[in-house]
Amino acid sequence: MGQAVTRKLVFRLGGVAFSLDLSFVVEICEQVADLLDLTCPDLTVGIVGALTFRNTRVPAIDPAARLGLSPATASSGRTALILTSSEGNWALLVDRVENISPVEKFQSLELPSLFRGAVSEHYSQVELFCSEPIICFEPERFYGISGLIT
Amino acid sequence: MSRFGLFRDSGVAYAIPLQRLFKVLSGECCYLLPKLPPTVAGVVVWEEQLIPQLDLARLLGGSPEVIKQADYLVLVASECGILALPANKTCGIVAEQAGELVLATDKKASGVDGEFHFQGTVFKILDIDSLAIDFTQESW
Repeated sequence: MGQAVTRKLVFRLGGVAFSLDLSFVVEICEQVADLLDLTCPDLTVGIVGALTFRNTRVPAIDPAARLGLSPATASSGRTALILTSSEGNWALLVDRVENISPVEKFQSLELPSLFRGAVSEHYSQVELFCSEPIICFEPERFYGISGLIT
Repeated sequence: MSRFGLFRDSGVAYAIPLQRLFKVLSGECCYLLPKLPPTVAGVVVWEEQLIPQLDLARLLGGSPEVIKQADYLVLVASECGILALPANKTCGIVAEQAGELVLATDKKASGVDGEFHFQGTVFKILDIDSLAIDFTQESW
């Protein structure tokens, strides 16, 4: 039986806040420099390297470049969110995790039609959280078969 | 009788026809979102709506600005919805007869309808619909 999404995680990347359904998150790993192998990238699919997680290597994805953002944190201090997907676990590299809150705290905002087309390849929903607009991170856009279709 | 709202921001003086002036906000934050069109500096949240804030310097032919918090945000009504313009000074609402109006000959190319000369300052009269259409075309 599927678990209803009741909480969301808020992370920050390049100064921009994102929300992520907590049901995607397997684990949060901080200070991942020693776990990250950047010698095996496959940038055609956004993979910057591999992260050792529970004695296995999982693909590490850094969405910053694709989103036109500059990470605010040096590589050694970054945080990895281990996410689950139909193709196995993978690591999402972010600057930091800020919050985990009930979904009721997030209010959906409509994207202005003036730039909906410009951003639609990367995100489709924005929410208001603590008076700040934050982007709903959609993992399937960044990893897996559907993420390759741009 | 035409009237204009007059504003300044980073060396740019601009005029908004009063019928397009929707509201002036102070102390509101502009937030960065990824992959916005080049002429959009960020977004403002106003009454639970996301309002695009235009990069005035870039639109008027200057250098793109690093995102900064403006003292005021001027909300204007365009055919494509409400837009926000930054301002660090408000210069009041002035009747056309109080200054000199110089209409542009090539307004479609610049997003500027003309100039309003008032008390020694040249205010560019913004063509809001033209600016909105310009950045819609960039988006697509």
